[in-house]
Amino acid sequence: MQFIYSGITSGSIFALVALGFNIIYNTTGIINFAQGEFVMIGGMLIYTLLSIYGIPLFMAVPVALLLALIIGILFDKIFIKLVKVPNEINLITVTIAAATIIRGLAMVIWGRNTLNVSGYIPYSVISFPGGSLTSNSLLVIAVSLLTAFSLSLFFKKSSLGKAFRACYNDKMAASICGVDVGHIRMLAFGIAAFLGVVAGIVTAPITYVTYTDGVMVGLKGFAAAILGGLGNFWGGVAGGLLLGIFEGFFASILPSGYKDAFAFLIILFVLFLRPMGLFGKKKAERL
Amino acid sequence: MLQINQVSITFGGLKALENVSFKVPDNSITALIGPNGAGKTTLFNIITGFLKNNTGQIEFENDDITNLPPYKIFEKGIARTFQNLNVIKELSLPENLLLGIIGKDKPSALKSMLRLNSSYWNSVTERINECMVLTGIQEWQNKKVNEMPYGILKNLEMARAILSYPKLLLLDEPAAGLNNNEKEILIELVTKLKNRGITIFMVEHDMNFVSTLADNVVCLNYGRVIAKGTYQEIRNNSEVIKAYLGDTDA
Repeated sequence: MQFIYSGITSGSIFALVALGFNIIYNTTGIINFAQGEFVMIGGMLIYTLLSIYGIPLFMAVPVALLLALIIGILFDKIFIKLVKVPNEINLITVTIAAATIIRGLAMVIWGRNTLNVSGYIPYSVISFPGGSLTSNSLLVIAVSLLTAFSLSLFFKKSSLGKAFRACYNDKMAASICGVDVGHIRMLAFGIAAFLGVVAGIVTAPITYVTYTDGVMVGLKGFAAAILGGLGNFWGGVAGGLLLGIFEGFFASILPSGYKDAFAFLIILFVLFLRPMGLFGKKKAERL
Repeated sequence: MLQINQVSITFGGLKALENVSFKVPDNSITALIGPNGAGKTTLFNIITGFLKNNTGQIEFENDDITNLPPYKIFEKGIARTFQNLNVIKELSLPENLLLGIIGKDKPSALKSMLRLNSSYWNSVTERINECMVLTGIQEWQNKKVNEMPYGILKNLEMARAILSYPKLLLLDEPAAGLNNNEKEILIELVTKLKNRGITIFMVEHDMNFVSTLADNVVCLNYGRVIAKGTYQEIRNNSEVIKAYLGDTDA
């Protein structure tokens, strides 16, 4: 059972990253390979605000989240909007380049060393049937699920959320109803960065922070999005949790060094056997 | 109300529109006719910002709207329907209609999520209900959009356009695919909209529909205006007859 508990902890982070992938995919049709870097930035921001500037946690978190939105919007304005021929291949290439640039900048700013972020809540171990979770892991799960539910509520209930959903489905129809599709894409990058930074903030005390953190978490989030069905909101959440649990199980029967390979096996299996993922639907194309 | 001045567009070497100029008068129904490939939908796409013309200018209420993006055109008070339906299948029928309102009113995301400002949201519900009755789609409000028949989806698209209180409504082949009964209902609806002060500009192939509704007709052929006037004038125009029937002298 313990592998399930640890799997849910890491899976809830993959779920947040997968949601970031899905939001960008739905609004632009591309895979943002810089999504993992937003997680790294989240860790770095919270480290900087707490440890370097000594800002209290209750102020540091909102500041980091606000900065996340700004970073996401700037990402769109700098890397996406300026692409002269914005077809899918060019945009995906730009996100890979952007990820490398962000990682390089992070190394210059924060260095190569692993940075330590203290726990946000007192450390304790909570027992569950067949296993246990630390208070930090519970915080990760609670914050991730709360974020996913709030986002789902936003998409379902708010006027802006409906504009997002209209853009996902038919950009032409949305724009004729007064929706500024470019503005929605910019906000999508803001929300994707926000999700990444939330993931980075909550995991920082558990995993610590290094400038290369975004690579693996980004790829695992991508695997989770593929597993759940690219573009499917709750598919991304389920894909993340399942990937975390599978990975935990894999690590419990084989040397844990192999566990990172599992995400890539998942991508291959899904693409071979069920390309639309577990919960994805085949999308009708406009001819 | 709408003034098209010397509008041209080319796709590669093909001149899709060449120096097209005409007016759509205020509170009128103007029909744009012409054989397939004449450039009618291309002109609609230029007016509504989906295509950029190479030369020329489009004025709406004496305002230059040339090459504005679609959402800006919508904000000016121009709504449209499409030849190929553009109903959002991901959203329910009332949500599709709501999109027509929120695109115009732009209510705050937080207020809409928490349903603050209840008087506004009550008025939105009233507007949606009234529009569903007007377009005859109220019985379909609990059905899934992808299960609705073509005629209902066309009315849904029309209802969504009306809900934004447009000054000018562009209808792209509104009668296409409808049976005679549905066409009668549509004629009644378009007349009601005109009586409410909405100017109608439509692309249509059905000449009975055009003759019943249109105050003015503009005929395009190979991207050029070949005739404009009342339906009677156009009907007897030799250029128009030639465009539709071919050169009968041969």
